[in-house]
Amino acid sequence: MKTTYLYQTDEALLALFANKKDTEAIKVLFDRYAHLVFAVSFGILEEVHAAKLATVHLFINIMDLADRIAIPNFKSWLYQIARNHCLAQKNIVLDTADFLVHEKLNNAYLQELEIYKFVQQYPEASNALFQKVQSTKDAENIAELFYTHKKSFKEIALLVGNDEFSIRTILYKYRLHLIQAAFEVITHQKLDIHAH
Amino acid sequence: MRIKDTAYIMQPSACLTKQQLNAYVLNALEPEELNAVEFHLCSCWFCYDAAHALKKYKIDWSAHLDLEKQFIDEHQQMQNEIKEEEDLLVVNIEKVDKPQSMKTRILLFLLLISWFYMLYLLNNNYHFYKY
Repeated sequence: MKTTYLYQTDEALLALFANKKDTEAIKVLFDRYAHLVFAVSFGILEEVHAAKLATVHLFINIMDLADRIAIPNFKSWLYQIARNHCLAQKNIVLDTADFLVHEKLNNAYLQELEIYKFVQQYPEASNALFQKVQSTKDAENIAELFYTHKKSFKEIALLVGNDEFSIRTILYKYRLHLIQAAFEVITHQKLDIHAH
Repeated sequence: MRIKDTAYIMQPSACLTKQQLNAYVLNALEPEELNAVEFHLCSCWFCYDAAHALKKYKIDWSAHLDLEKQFIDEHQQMQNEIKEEEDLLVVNIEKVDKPQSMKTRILLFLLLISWFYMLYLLNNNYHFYKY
């Protein structure tokens, strides 16, 4: 395996395969995500062999589609098609709400990338950015326990008297709120970059 | 929450590896690593869904997570063979539709000229008989 491929982004690897038909690029993507695709497939199909088959089929489809479609966010797209593929196998029809959730996920990921680029470009302005998006929600206590005191989901769940799933959801929403607020600050130029 | 923490929360992180996923399912992670894994799970639905699905059965998944990738080369080889066959077919079709050679063209041209000459002669003969 080419070591330089290990540091390439998913989208760059897919483009490499689409243009040069270099299977090494797909192998790197397979190493990165096959186990996750398998696990998600297993969650839906509830059968190990079927989940393995679904994973292989999915990667074959990716190889066939690579040069025909443009994928701006590979990870989110892969998650989406893995779920759709398995749900279709189980004859579960997706409703509009499910598509909207995926759209939301995709948007959040792209916003996250924008913020990351901004922080890289203007490191001195990032403090001011984060000051602007400080949240005052109740979730802050849970976030503090997790991010500052490094408590696990299980420990927080015991402390707060909630289940692990809810803790994770609260943290996910808290982070999403911060990202969306930061993205708004960046897109609407509410921050004077040169003042800092 | 401090600004430094907010910046830390928004940091992007890489998806879980096979080892991390398996260890998380088996509750075999050290506190520091557990925090790093859960930090990522807070931002990634893909990994969270995967971990949640495997956590239903607390068994060692490592054997199942190591999937064979031999099919990638095999599939690509098959695709290349199909493409080669298609290219060969295109070449054969081109051969069938190949335009006439120079020799044939000259022969056809001469035939055409001879036809015109015949017509010319016939025309002259007609006038000859006429007068």
